[in-house]
Amino acid sequence: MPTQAEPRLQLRVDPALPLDECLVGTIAVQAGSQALRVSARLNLIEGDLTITVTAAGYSARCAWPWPVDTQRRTVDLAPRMRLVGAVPLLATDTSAPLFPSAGDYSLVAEYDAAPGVRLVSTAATVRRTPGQDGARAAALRDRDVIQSLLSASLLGNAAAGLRAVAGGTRVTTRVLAALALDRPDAVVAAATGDQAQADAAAAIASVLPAGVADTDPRRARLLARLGADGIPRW
Amino acid sequence: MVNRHFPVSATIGSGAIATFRSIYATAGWDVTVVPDEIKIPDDPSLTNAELETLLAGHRQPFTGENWRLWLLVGSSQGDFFGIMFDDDTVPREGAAGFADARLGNDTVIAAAARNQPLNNVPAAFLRTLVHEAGHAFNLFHPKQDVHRSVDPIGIEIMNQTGDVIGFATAANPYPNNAAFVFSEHDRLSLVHSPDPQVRPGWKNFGWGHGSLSAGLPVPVDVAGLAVPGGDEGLTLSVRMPQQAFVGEYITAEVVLTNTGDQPRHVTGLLTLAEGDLVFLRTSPRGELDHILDVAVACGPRPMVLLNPGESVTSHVQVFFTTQGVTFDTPGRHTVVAQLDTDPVTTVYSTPVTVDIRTPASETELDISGKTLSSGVGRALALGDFAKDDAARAILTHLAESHADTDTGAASALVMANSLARSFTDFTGDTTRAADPPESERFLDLAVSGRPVQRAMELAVTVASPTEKDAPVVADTLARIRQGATGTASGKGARTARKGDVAAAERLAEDFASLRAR
Repeated sequence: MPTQAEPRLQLRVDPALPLDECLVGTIAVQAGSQALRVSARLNLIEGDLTITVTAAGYSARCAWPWPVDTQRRTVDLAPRMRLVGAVPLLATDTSAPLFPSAGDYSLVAEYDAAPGVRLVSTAATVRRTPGQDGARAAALRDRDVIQSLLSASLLGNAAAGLRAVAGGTRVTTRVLAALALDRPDAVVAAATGDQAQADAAAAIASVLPAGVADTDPRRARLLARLGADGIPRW
Repeated sequence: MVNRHFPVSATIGSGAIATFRSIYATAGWDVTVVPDEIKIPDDPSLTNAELETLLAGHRQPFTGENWRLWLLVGSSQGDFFGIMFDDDTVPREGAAGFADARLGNDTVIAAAARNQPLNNVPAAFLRTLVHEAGHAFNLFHPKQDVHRSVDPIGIEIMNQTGDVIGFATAANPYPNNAAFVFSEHDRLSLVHSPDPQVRPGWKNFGWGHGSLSAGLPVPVDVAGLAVPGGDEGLTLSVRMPQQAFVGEYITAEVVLTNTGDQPRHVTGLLTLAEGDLVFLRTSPRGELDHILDVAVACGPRPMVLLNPGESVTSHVQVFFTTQGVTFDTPGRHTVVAQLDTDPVTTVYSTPVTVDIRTPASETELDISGKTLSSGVGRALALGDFAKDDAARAILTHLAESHADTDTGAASALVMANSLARSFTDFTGDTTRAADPPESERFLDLAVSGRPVQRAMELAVTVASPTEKDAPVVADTLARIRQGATGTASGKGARTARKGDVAAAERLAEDFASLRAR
């Protein structure tokens, strides 16, 4: 088996998902054969990670819409160890829908792993299929709803739209809406079963990531109720 | 927010005092900070929704052409230092800095700042607040800017603090290593990008440097120093020596004249320290930079009524500025003075050239070898050697050995100014006592044998323009008056004619408060 010499960035997403559901991806930095010190800011919020989404005639950048100023955080990875995070793939850096219509999309992540070191993932693909619920699909195109889902809080006039999103069929969709609506019981209720718990934990980690939301009491409480450690499953 | 403090000013790594206003002035902006609502109840952790609610509740209506941005000095949001949280349908009107966020405990953080909340580290907090305001003006982190340069991270304002810390060392720790200026790309954007992109409340965040309308060309300055039309009724001129050697003390005379037929109200801040006046210098390498005083003040703009034919005149030192030793490169430098005479009028001088050569005599070699240190430069710029004993020794040598030169006289005047007053080092809790006899001795060295008008010009340039009561101005004038009445100390002060005294008095008056003449 060949030895991987260089660090690698990998992005995983569901292969297909209707447009009326929320897509949450999983991202990993894996050390090669050498130990590696990398940025621990493997999330959209702190600005080291961006994802470029392309389709025929379309290109958009997925990044956090509210720029923040933070310190560096680093983590030492032993050879072949991974740093794993989750990423909400909902919106462009300007709070527009990331996937504007049904179709096949290619996603490439870029991560500033260290000063002067930018890792680029191979392309992941997702097929966004037409939504089944018109109201929910419309809500996921609404700026206030998008920003509320990303910020895990109710912003602007998003309440009705969030209630529509909360009726989604996917765990990640229901969890993100419940977080924004401040309904912790609904978060836990959405996570019945092993896979559902993992999906719920990933959704929580995508908008309340470790290192950023450590002091947010919702993160600790919800992960404890889910019996999850906050590290997305890889 | 209660118990959190806006950093009105901060001492930055260069030793200069920076303010919100002075940093934006480096991009040609006239920014006024008004701390108004300081009793926002304590809330240890702020969500974006709470920030939006705070903005909605505290935003005040305004009219007119001025722009408005609301900055919150808040508590915390996770470990963030700051956030530009406002990207709704009327976007970019609010940003926040978090006073409770703590700097790390690394050796690359200055010892006094380690593990301290930003509330206790004015330079770091000021940087973050200026940074967040930059986002509200639609600037991006350079590494995320669609116009990303080959050096995507650096130490200028719009880099994230973490990236700036990445350049810090134990010898040059954060925040000392931070540059309190905008990168050239961001400066150009602040100056030239379309108003809707920059003005708070208009285009969403991402316009210009992000995904929205990213196809806009990179803003650029007009090549060279082509001067716009300015104002036909006002003429600005700058006079500097045509030639000087590297390390020589250099001053400039700036004159604004009403050449129109109507009275005009113009700024009374004809100094490089208050944001209205800036020198645009093109170096022999063709690089354009902005020259400002190392001490930059923030305050109201006094206006002067300038009747037709009248002028206002000031003298400024340009030896040591925000560029360090301004003319440290041999070759031809071109300087244009740019003055915001009022909030809507900017005038430019005709370019002047200064040919800088290498030192050519033993005296020049000695001077050049001693003045090219930041300590001496800062002392000449601030009019005080503070607690820098090495600078004090050099200034003493220059004053005693080369008092017949402008550089030696300027050094003597710095010594006279420093020793005329006490100086307290609050960090070390020590006080340097005044030494009036020594101050007088240095004043004698500066004035003796020198034309009184030039002696006075040097005195007003050595005094920091932000210190209107600097003793060297009054002391020099007193010494000149003594010479005119024959009561000088007898140490060779040139006898002053009545007209010379009047000229010196005008210089002193203009230093304190500019007058139309």
